[in-house]
Amino acid sequence: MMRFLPILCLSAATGHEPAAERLQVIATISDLGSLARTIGGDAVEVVVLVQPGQDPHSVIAKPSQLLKLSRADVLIEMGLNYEHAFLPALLEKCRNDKLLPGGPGFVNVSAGITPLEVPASADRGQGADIHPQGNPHFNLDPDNARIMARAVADVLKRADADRAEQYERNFQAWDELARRRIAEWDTILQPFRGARIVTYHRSWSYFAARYGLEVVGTVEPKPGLAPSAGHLRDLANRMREQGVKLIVMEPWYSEGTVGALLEATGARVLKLYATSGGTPQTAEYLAYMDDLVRKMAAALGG
Amino acid sequence: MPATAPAAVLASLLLALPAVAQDPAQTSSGEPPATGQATLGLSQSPGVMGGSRLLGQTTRFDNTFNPAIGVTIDAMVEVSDMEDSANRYNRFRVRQMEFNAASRIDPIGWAFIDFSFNDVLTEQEAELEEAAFVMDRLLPGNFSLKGGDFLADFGKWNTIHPHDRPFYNEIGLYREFFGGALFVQGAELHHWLGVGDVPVRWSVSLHSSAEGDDHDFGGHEEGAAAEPFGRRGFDNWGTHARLTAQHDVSDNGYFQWGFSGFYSPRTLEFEAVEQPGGNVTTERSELRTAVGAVDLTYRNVDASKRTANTLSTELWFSDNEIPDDNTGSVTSDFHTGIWGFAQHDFSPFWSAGFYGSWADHAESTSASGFLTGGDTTAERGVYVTWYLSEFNRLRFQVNHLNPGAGQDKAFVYAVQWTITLGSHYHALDW
Repeated sequence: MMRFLPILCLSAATGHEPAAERLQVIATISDLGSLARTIGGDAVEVVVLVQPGQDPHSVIAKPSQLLKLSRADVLIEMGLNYEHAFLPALLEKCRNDKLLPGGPGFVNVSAGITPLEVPASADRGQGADIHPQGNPHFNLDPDNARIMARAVADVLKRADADRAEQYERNFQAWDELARRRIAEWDTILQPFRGARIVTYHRSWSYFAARYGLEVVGTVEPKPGLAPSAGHLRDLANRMREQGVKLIVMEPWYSEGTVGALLEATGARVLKLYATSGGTPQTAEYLAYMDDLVRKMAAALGG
Repeated sequence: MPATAPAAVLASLLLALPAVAQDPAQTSSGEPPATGQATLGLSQSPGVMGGSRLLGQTTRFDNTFNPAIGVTIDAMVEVSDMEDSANRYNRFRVRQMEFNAASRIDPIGWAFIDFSFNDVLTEQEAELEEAAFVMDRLLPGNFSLKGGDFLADFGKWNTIHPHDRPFYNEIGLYREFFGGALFVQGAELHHWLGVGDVPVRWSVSLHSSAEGDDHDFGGHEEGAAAEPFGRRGFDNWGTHARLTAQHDVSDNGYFQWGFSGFYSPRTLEFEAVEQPGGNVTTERSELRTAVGAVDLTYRNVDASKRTANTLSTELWFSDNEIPDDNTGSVTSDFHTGIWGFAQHDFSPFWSAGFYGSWADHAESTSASGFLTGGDTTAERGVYVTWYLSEFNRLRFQVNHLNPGAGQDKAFVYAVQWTITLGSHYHALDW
């Protein structure tokens, strides 16, 4: 807890603003909400559309979200079609020009990211959850989070120029803290470079690339498709051949689906949230990543 | 006249453009166009399009500017020993092959079309389903205007195409009251707003014609709201309206209520009349149709477990003019009906549900109705749906049909396979 005290302090230092003057911010996922709260402090009021622990593909576009968008000053999205289950339908109806792409309150934080797994061809044969511009789960590489935070700071400064210095100060403080944490996490996971894992969905590609883990395969044969018995049999063979003992999956996936894999390979399941906020202790991004890194290290070491 | 001078200058400039464009030597860089296609495209437009345009472009863009195009194939086998005047049972049939395209027109509006081949193996003819524009940036605030031929904003489910519904069959209540899903030709004004934190939406429409679209029963003449006829006057025009609100019950759940009304002052009714000597003639009459509906829907998605529950029902009532076969006069009669479904999604790949519809015969003059035990049709069914993917769906359903007084009841066993190619889009669930 003490480790994150500076964040709490810099948030508190911004002073309490009357609710009516707060910048109304919509963040699509909890990581973006965390960054907006940290950088915006009490000057912003943040609403997150995909609650922590929810599969973003299962989120439905609701008119109440449309209402929130119509009243907001800033919209922060991941991009790379991360939000394709709900955001396009909302933006189509939203008449708030500030939040539309190109507007002063809109930011797509993937703009500075180098995407992984950009498909060679965007056809349905590549799976149901197609992301033609690349894998959108880039929030799991903390270096990317620094790029995301920079984008969040910039849009807050653009939307609320009067508090631009305050937002920049908060960003710099967070970024300094993030760099220190990233160095710690590199040390923690250094012994496990080259370790092999299987993931359920392709959510962990950026994390694996950042820390030198090798993803041998995914339980889903293609993104968004249920595994067949044949696919699970092939995957079990590969896991045995390559000595994979860990399957990483989000809590919303059924452990029953991988029961046969576990039995055939002796592997264990590590259930991890792919965004912050799955528990109250991991509501903020850096606390979440710290927890994630330590759990992964413990699982790989065990 | 002073106004003719600028017009003449503009016209001469426009007429000069193709000549410039057709000569590669006169491009700005002095180089010929980079691709043969550009030259071909320009040479195919030798004049000013339509003779009157002042603005235009001659670039041939790639697919970015083409409409999004999708195709849905809805195939099925229905097994039953029920009377089969539409030749639908005990054979494989492609109930519908639907083509759709949608695109923005310009910054103030977009448009879409749907046309389909219905019962593809036997009918072999295309039918326009919808062709409409939506001016979503023409009016201020959250107003938008839809115009053309489209599914009416009536009840919760009328705008959902049959292949996108949770069960395979046409809704019995819709068939009885409108002859299937209600299509109108006219214009609908939409608006949404927030009353506190509750989103509210309303629409009101004027239409010059309305008709049901019952693909299952092979025609458009089954229901009460057939095409108006004769010389068009504004007194022929009908109207419909809807008011609805959605209340959040969870992060991904809502309770929605809605009221809808439909009124057509002069609806066309056809009736086959056997004349002395065996000749059959068709008589037609103009009749008033008024239908009201209350809809209630609860949907709750647990995105942390990827499960969902849905309950939805609509109660309809109508006050229609109906020809009395015995007296030849026109009487007014009140009818009611109710339908609904309950569904549980076990995962994104499997769901199961129950469907039921009970409705008065809309054209019946017998003692009304559904609520008091009059002449009704009843349908009940259970279904299981397997989503191989979002675009590939297999459904198994068993329905029990009771067509009403004097007709045999029967079971129908159905397997439906629906696939979608290309672009497919679901609008806001409202």
